[in-house]
Amino acid sequence: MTESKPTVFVLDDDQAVQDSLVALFIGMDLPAEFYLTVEDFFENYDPSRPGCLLLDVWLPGGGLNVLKKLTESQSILKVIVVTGHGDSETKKTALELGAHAFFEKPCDSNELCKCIRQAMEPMTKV
Amino acid sequence: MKNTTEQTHMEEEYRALFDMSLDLICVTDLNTATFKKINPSFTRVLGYTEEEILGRSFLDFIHPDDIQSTLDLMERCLKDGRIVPHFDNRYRTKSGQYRWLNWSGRPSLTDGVYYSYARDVTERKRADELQKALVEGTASATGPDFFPSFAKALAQVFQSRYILVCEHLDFPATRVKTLAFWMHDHLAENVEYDMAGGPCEETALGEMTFYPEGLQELFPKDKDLIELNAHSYCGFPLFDSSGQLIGHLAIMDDRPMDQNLCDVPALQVFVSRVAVEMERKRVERALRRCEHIVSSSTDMLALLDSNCVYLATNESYRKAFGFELGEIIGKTAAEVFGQSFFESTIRPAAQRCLSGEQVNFRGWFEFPVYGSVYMDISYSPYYDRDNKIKGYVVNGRDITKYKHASDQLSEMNMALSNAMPGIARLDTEGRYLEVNDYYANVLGYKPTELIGGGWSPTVHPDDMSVALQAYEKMCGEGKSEFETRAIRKDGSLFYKALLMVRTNAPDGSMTGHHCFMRDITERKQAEEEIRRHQDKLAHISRLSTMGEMATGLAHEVNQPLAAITNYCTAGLQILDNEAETSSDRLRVFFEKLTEQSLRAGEIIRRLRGLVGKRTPVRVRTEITEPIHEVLRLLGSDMRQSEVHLVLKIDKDVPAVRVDEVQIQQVLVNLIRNAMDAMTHSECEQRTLTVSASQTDDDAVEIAIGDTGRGIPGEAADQVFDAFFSSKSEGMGMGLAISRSIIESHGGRMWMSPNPEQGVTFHFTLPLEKKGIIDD
Repeated sequence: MTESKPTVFVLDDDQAVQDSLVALFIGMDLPAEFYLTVEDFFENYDPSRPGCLLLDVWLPGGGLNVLKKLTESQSILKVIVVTGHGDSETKKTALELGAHAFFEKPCDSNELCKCIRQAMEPMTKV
Repeated sequence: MKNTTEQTHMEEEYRALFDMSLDLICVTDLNTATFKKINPSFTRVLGYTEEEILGRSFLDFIHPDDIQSTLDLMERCLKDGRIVPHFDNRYRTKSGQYRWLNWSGRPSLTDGVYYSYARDVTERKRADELQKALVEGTASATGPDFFPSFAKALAQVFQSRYILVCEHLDFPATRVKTLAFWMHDHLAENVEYDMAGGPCEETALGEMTFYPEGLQELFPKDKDLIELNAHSYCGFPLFDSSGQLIGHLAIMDDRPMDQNLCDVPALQVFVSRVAVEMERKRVERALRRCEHIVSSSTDMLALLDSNCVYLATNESYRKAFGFELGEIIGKTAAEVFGQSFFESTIRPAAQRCLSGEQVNFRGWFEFPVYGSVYMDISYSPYYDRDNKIKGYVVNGRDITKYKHASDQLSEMNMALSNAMPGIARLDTEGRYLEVNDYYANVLGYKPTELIGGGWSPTVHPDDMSVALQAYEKMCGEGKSEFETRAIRKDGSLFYKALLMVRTNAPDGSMTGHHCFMRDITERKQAEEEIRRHQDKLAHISRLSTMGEMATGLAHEVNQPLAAITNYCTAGLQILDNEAETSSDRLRVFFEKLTEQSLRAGEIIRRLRGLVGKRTPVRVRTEITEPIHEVLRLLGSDMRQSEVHLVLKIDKDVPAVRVDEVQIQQVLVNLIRNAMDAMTHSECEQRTLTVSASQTDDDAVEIAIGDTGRGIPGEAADQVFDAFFSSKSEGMGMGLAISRSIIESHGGRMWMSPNPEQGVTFHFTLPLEKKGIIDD
């Protein structure tokens, strides 16, 4: 468990967004793994692996449901919610459900990366 | 003594036999031929007293025609001493009639007498004679000759003074006409008379009537009886094969009539024969009359069997097709009219008719002889005696004149009902011959300014092609209607409705046309106003839809923007880190950057296209284009709602002529409704089916099906009503506006429940007509 390097898990159904994040995380030297669907994520993500989840709200199955499920299962993942329609209602719900942070798309990529690093820092020290 | 006693006894026995015998027994003197002894039957049969006969010569009683043959026979018997073989002759009775007697006898030369006995065979002889006379007299006679021959034969056999073969002229019979009238010794002129008060009246009730004497006392009102000196009457009713009384046979005499007359069996047979002949005569007469009606009818009549083979035609029919009588009978309708016309028109009508239906239709037909004729045609089933359909009767009537008159009338009615107060008459060159004040005033002219000039300056140049098309149509079809922009004398514009009606010379050639005109500017303006309102409403509805769609759209726009931001940051990161600079990778990032910017721009363009205020424009459009456009707009919503999309778009769906944005609006509306229906219900399978196909009737049909909870019956009738909504949000205008958009495109919109789950909304759009140029 401790051997695992913290990773950025991305769950977003938009391929173009994912592609851009690949470019961003390579440049930022952040290890990242990408999932297009909720099912894909739950099937392939090993719950023992540390890191943070970059979660889109607007996807089939509902991004907030994923957050709820992870919180309920006391996942070690820190969830950063990013959404294209950042109404205050969604933000409130997300934080109540245990989200680590909330971003509206489009957002400052540097800020996002900074937030990711902060979230994962404790894990790297372990 | 004993001998004497025996002799006496025998004599008594002979006397008893002699007295009691029904046969006539007599003893005559060989030399004087006088009666010496006769038995009672002799007086009974011939009606004389004994005194009137005894002592007289039998030659006094024999029918003059039979005297010679009687004498000859007797001489031969005397010579040979033989018994007289059975021999017939006629004896006159006291009433003056003759009876046939069949003689047998033996001469006794020793006694100088002749013993004879005779049997009355009048009935048999009469029957034979009647048979013979009637057969001989009537065998060769048929038709109208039969009745006189019969009457003559009957008169001779019965020695009757009057024979009348009467046909009833009415029913129940009151008046008769004789077909034969035998009077005394010749055929008299046929007569017609009323039966009232006479003996015939009783026969005409259907019963055999017999008055052997005292006729005049019985029928005192019948003065003819006195004139004819008729005292006895025998009448036989005549029935046809259906049992209807059609006439009677009357026999009258100036003497009392023989009781047995009406019992002669042969007479009964011949009465029947008279009835048959009379019926035949009536049938033939009816047939001849029918034939006359049929042949003189100007209707075209034909009888065909169930295989459409001609059995009979009338002259009008043959004349119309240029056939001689022999040329058409036995031919099939297909041979006469050609296979294609037979299959398309005759056979369907004939089949319906042969199944028992009376078929009527009207239309224009081309005749080799008459040219184009408007026909009223009926096919009537032809039944045989067993009520089975054996063929059909075609009745064709030329109603061209009626058609013209009725067309003219309906044109006149149309003109009146449309209240077209402007009236002008033009010549074949399109020049005004006459115009009324209204016509000229509306155009801003005085009537005299228009007359002599052509109509083209009054039509807007842009509408000239429409006007010319209408003109051509009127020349060809007789009339046409159209609406156009018109130009007044001062150059100002207005809308007018026109009805042009061709005027014809008696020979059918065109002499010009009537033009009826009405100013419809107000109506056009009102229509324009309504259209503007509709467009405005549609726009409001689009805005409202956009509001409802904002969330999805925002996400859709922001995704690419997020990607752009990521790429930018990554690009800058690379630029910051000189060591890692790689122009190749940088190029890729900036390509992606461009791509995603375009994507954002595209989305915003679509958004503006849908929401922006605009003038509707109809252009040739492949229906797949708005469908894909809308699915792209709604794609993210669909993914979010986990709606599975099934596309069923036929290949080669033809283009339609539509306002694409309006059609997109309809599609957005229907697809969002479908999605709402599925997300609001707890349905497992959320399938949206979008299909497009060409229907048979020159239209494209688009259908949007969902697997939602469906629409209950009472609500199904209201879904298209304005302000009807099952949702808490929304104006309830979507379907009402969608339907008005589709109808303004000349299409239809409706809803149907799916067999398993949900509903499907359908709409059609007419195919783009060839030859119309895009606006």
